[in-house]
Amino acid sequence: MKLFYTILAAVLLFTACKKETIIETGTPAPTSGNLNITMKNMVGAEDLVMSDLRYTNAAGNLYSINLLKYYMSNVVLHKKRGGNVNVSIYKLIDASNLSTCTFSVGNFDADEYDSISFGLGIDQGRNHTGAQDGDLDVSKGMYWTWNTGYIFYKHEGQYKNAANQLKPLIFHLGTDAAYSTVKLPINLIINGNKTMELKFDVNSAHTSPVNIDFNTDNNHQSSSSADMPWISNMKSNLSDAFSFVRVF
Amino acid sequence: MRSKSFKFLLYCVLPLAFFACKKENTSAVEDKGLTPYNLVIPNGFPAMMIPSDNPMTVEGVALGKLLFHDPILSGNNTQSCASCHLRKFGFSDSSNQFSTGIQGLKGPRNAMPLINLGWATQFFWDGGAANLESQVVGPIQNPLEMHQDLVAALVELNAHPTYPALFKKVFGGTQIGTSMLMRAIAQYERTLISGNSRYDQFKRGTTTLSQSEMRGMNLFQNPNKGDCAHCHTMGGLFSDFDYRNTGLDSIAVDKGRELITLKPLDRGKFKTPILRNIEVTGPYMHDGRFKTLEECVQHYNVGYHYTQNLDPNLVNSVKGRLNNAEVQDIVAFLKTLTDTEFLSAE
Repeated sequence: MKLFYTILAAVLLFTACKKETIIETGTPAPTSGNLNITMKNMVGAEDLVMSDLRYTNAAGNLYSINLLKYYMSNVVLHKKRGGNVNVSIYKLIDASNLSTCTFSVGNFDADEYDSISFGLGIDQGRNHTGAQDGDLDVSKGMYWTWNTGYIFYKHEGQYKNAANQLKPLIFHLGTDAAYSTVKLPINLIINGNKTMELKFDVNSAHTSPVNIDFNTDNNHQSSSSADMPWISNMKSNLSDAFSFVRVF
Repeated sequence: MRSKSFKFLLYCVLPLAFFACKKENTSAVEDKGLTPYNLVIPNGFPAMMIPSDNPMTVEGVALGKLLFHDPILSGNNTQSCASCHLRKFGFSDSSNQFSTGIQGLKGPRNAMPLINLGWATQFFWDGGAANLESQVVGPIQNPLEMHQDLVAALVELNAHPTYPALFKKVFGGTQIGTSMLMRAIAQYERTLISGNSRYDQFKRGTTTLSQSEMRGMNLFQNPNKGDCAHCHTMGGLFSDFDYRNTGLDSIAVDKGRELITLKPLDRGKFKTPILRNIEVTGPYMHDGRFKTLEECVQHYNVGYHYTQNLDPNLVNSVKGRLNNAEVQDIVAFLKTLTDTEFLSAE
């Protein structure tokens, strides 16, 4: 019996070695690849056009987007066969500047990944540290100097109110309570450098699951306890406003 | 044997570990040709926590001091930090209730003194700035204060004849960045240490206090009398750095801490200010409503309103528990916290 196990172990060991040898000497498949994420900022099915009063949300408000910026952070890729890869990253997306909408997440093992998680905003550990560089530089206009912390999501524009008047729309979402984690199913096989396209739908951010009417909610800067219900609504809406498009 | 090896660890290995750490820290600064700044911590003060990403250097402090006094950081280059934070007033703004910014507009709160900031954990009256580095850019950008765009400030600094070399020396890099500006000024602010008042000298046994001052010190600490030390902790700092509603208004005009936490329970709460050099930092309270220390003490004696969120210590206090002589004694004690060496330093 003992001999049997010894032989079995030896066979297994050699088989394992052999198998690996085949991969190394055989096909030159890459063992890893760089992943880029490209954000497609859209309103419904339409690519976002800045500063154009052309969008209608589910509440029936006609509105525009003159400024749209948000932070994506702490990317986690989930392997189909189990296990995660965490990447500490803080990326500011500015919808008016396409060069900010594609960014490298890093190098990943060749594998199949079936979901992605990321933070919308800045986690509590990093949110209150001021002297930062890169996309967290406080001169990027996404930082409250009177209340140390980042603006996670900023949408400024105009809307037509019930009396058909053009009024300003100001949404500055932040504070630790607003930080949300978005998790999306994806279909990603890394076997070389890849770009993954994700969609962000501004209409969905104001619609699902909470329908936000701009006649009542049009100016929230996360600066008063009265903003808390809106923060909570936006938090659930934003985690629902992203989706996977494709990998190429 | 076991205790022997433990002793070996204790006496030989452990000190080495500390030595190693210390050496590494200083050499990291010295490798860049910088001189570590020797902070002198007054007796009886706790250690100052310096952020690991902003070690104090002689060059960094000097640069911060230069920036603190340079109007280049304001929108029209007319005001510096020092315009409203003057050393002789404990780095507060003379007798102005509200300071006037570059546009001639006044802010809603009294300019805070800048004393012993290295021990505080949050800044501004409502604690909105989470650390000293973050605090720096608040007044620079505030439209009611220095009203400068940070990007514009950096453009000016980078085009300046001398600043780029000074920044490069302290922080490296090719361009002056926001984080460097924040770090330099914070370094200078950490050096504004006051710990040599007559009270401190009394504690060290090198001077005596008058009978009135001694009575005042006892009343200050007596929970049934002044009850001041509850929040203005005796010893080094004279503040617990917590936030309290002290009943200044029956309905809070300024929401205070609520603006930061977004919690109605924090309405009308403000940071416990340190009391050092309080004699010269008036007017007092977050809105500078009281001109004299007598008014302040009388507020806690009889003046406070039973407002929502009133601090429990005041809820439980008895109004009128101090007579006029006792109020005078407390004021006399408060004036022993004046540190003339600090106020007159260069």
